[in-house]
Amino acid sequence: MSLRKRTFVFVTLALLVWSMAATGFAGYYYTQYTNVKKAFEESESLIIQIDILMDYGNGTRIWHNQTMLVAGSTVFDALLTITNDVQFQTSAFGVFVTSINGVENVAEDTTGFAWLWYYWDAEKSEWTSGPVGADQYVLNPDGVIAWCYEGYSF
Amino acid sequence: MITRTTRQLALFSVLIATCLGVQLSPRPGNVEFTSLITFTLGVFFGGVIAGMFGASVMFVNGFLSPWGLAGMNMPFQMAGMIIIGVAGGIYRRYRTDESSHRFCAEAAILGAFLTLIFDLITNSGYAILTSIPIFLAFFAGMPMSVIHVFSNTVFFGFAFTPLSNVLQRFVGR
Repeated sequence: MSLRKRTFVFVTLALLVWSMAATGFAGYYYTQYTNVKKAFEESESLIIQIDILMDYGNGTRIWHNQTMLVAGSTVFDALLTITNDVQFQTSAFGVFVTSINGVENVAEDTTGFAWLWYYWDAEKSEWTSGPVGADQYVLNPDGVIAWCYEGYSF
Repeated sequence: MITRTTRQLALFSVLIATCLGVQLSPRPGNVEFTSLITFTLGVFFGGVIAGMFGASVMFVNGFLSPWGLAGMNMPFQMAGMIIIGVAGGIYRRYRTDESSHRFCAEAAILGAFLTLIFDLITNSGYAILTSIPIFLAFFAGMPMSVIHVFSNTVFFGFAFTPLSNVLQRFVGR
């Protein structure tokens, strides 16, 4: 075999190895990409995003928009996601929050201040008082809730 | 009929023991010397001897490899190694000693090519045995193939010439 032909053969062989390896790597990354994309799309159905309003009753209002939670989370789970400084009591009716971020409930004879929660009723376009304990109300995807520190009397 | 001297049979035994010693030792995945030794044997003793040598090593390796039992993939590994041995036998016809650098480069390219063929065969075997598409098996095994190809490119490029020189002295050619 002449030197020129020999060179040609080995250069061709080297290019063949390179092209096969490059094709293999491209295929490897494509399969990895499709696997990750599929896993991401599957996990998307397990994640919900909600907006949470914290109203401290003194004019301070803080929104925690697009808070990500696992599907099936409750209003109380959502609260614990945005702050660790929560005190509460449990009873047969569910969780009763007594303090958030150092702001505690105040109870006197017939009046007081307490943390209450609401959800946004999109059909009526109004805030609606939570019908059950915060740990018993499962959030809807794209839900909007509010924790309000407000006075009460009876 | 193929006749071999006692000296040559002793050499084959030592090389088989060497290959198996490396194959069966804990080591980085797909880093092995069997391909290089099989190919080199093919260059010196022909494709038949080298093919039998490579197949024997892969047969034992299939049962005792630290990476686990090869199972039904073992015939594919044996076939891949036979091809490498036969390729060595073919290469002996075209071997030249014109330039050592050129010789090393050729050996490195051949090492890369033959290793890629070996991986294609074994990955195809895996695909057939597990009923997954061949291209998918090839793509999934690509990172390991790259390690295999890269390491054998280096081994063939740097070790083929010294190994050839030793064998040349041994066989007295």
